[in-house]
Amino acid sequence: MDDLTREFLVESQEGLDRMERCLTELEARPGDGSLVAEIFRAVHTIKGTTGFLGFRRLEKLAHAGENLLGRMRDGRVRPTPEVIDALLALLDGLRAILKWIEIGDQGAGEEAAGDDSALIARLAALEAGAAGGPDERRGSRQREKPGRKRARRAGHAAIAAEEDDARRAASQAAAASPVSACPGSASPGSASPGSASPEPVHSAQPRASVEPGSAPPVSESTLRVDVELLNRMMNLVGELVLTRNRILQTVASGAGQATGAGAAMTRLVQRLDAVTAELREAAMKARMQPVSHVFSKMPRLVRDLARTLGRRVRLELQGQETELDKGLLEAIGDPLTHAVRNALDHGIEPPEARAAAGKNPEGTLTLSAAHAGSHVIVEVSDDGAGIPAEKIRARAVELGLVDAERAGSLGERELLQMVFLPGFSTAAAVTSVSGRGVGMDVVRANVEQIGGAVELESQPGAGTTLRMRIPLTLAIVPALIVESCGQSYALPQATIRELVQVSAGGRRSDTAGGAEPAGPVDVEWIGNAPFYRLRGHLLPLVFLDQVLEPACARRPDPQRRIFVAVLETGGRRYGLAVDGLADPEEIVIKPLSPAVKQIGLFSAATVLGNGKLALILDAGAIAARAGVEPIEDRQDPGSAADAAAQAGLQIEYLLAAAAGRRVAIPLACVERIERVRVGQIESAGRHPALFERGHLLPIDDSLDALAAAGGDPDAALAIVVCRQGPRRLGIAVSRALAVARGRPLIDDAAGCQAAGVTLIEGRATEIFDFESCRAGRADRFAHWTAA
Amino acid sequence: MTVAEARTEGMNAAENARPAEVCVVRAGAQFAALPIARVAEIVGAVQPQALPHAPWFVSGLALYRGEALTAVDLRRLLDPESPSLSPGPAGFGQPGRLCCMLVVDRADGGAGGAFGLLVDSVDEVRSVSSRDCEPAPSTLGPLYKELLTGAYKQKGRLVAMLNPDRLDPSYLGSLSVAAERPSGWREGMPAGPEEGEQEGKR
Repeated sequence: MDDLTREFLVESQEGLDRMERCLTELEARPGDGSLVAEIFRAVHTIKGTTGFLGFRRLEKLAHAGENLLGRMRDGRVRPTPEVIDALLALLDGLRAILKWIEIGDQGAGEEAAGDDSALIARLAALEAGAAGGPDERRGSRQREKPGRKRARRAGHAAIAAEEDDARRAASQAAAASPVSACPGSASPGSASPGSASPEPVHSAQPRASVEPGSAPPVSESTLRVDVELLNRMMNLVGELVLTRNRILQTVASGAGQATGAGAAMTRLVQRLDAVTAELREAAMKARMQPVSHVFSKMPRLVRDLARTLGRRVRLELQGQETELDKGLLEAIGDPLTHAVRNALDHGIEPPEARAAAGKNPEGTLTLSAAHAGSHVIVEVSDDGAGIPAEKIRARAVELGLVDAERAGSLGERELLQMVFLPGFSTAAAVTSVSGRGVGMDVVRANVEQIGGAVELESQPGAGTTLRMRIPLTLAIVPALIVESCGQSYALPQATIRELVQVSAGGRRSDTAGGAEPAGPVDVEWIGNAPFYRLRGHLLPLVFLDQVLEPACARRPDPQRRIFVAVLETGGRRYGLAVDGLADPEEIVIKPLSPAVKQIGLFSAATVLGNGKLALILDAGAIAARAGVEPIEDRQDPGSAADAAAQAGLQIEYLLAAAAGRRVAIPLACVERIERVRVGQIESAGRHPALFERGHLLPIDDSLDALAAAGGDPDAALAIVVCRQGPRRLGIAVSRALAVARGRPLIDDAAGCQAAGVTLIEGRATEIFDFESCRAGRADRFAHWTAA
Repeated sequence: MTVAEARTEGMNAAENARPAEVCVVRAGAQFAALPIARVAEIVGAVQPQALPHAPWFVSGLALYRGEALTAVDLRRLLDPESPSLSPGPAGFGQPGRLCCMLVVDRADGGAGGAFGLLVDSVDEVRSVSSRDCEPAPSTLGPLYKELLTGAYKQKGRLVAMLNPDRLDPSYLGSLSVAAERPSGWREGMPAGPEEGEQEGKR
């Protein structure tokens, strides 16, 4: 395929895209003559160049379209939905032929043989349907060619300019597109139906200011560049960044510190650093495109879908000028389409249902894009029926994704997350548009693949919003290098909230001998789970070496200092404990093969300043694997703590020690404490029991105090006699320590009060769990009394 | 015509009855051959980076021209009994041995990048005519049946013809027979001359 054909293809595609936008707008504003003129120009230009290049089929089709459009421009044919449909069909037909020219026959650049007579007849029929017969047709055709004679009408003047330009373009094989010459042509894409457009699009007057034959400034200041070339440039910039990293490291380590050369080297390296940073910025900027490129396909999609489904929908586009890297833009194209389909199919109700519910029969679908820090937030929101939580619950149980009891305990946020599971769909019937249950999980997979996140918000009866968070760019990110088990890994800085250095000490405290461990205890353990208390909140800890290489992980040594990176990602907040920290680096992301990606813990790879490969950790996946739960609501954990404290939720506990553990028993249920000897404890059946005051009291030994005493009948024990409703229970402990007030602890990960644990005298202490105590079954003899 | 002959005929026809250019490599005690057309480059000394939780046939990541390639350990695939070429889960944290790596292109013209194949050494590049090639014996274990397209005799040793598409880590990851490492006992794989056994022509 020669360059001329390639240029023609690119320009024609652009022209057809513009035509499509104008057609959908025309349906909303049939009286707008400038839109018709715009469409006419697009088709006319294609026709002009096709004749020159010898694409006969295209020429015939374009000609038929041009005829119809000419009559529309003259006002003889009204833009009814039928006409618009035919023009859209023309557009699709033209696109199909262009596509074949591009890729058919290995890009030979030839037209495919085909018959468009049906389409041409349809267009001709619509044209003839207007007042007047063949004579009028001929007359209007003759009017087009001697364009200069019609220069009085502003619209025609522009068209005459187009014709001249088209001829000049064809003869010179020039790259400048004549269709883009009109400055007004940039606006239809950004003007959205229903929103006030600053430019008076209705009047053709501004166009008159364009001198026929002059190329306006817009096309001069831009250059069309092949995307492949830009990609190559980005790769080279990436390699440059890596090389700069290595030079920085080498210089920092003193390798280049020869006398005299050292200072000069440092200066040069700093200059290199500055230049590379700027080059990187510029290269990334070059790849940025406004989201309108993706949004522009939506009006047509919404129109067609609304017609198919029988809905009335108004589309609003916001933030179209927000820019995003081209690669990312392409990646969200499909997810957006899925989301829009779902919104129209499931979200927005049919007009009758909406009227019955007291809503405007015309639904509104809003697509918006906005910058937020280092991300772009793209939202698809509708004012439809919302996603009923109960339906999701029922469907999840039905599909066997979760059992009934667990389903009952799921919160609304978790239920909405289930919508993203493959195969999940609450649609009663599968339509051709959606309902198969393959939409949402693909959306999430696509978005997460580019490093983004997606979430759903819904209010039954009011509407649903799908929110996508996309990073601004993918290629180069700042990261912190961490060490674990002798290997280096990279943590994207976007996920890091703080860094803390702690000592690992503080296993379950040993109070058997009565001596308390000296000094502050940093890492605390509840059962087998480590926590770190950060400013009064409990932060779940995940040890990286345990996650990655359980065989290599060592038990945290109390003397060893470890570093904790407080990470927050995807609604989960936790601390990642690593062996060491290295410098932060700007790293270049190297993609991983699917086989490695399947492991799930690593999002990509990179090359460090020392030339070695390092894996980039996926903070969210590590959290999920370690079982960290997402925060239920967006409440700031700090405020939750204040609220709880102000509610005066301080409870009095009896602090007791048993077999090396401290445990707190709510004072409210404690009746008394009995000091006994092990020998006094009998067994009824297989359960230990104590005969006292004429009653047989079941003894609970879940704290292992009795077991720890061995078989020594003279060993001293304390039995804490508790009453729980009608039940009486004796908890075996080694000693009772004190009565103290316990303050609630906030579970940082869940954002609410932590269950089963309380803060007593500055230490996190387990609360005795009555529900799971082993003496439950001994209830049956709890009421036995001596005869 | 026997079934074996018919199968050989089919295989020959598929190869256009042209002699194929193959690259012969050694992995453990086995010799194997790959079509040279699919080998982009042979890299001499590569130190693969260990990859936690990697599948058993992946020995790590290798840096090649700025890309992080997934390195498939051919020795582990073909010769499970010999010690692997690079650190596995047991050898985490130790520097990998230097090995020879073939950079193999993906079938779709490198659209998904390439992958690396770790071998002990590269023997030679030679032409193999389809007449010398025999189909893979039916007594092979399921994993080898997937990997091998046939075998040929050369200089008194048996060289296994490998299908590069089957060695792609994504493909191996999707195979159920590759879900677990095969046991040490040789599953019907014809032994090399070092073992002193010879498999006669059928």
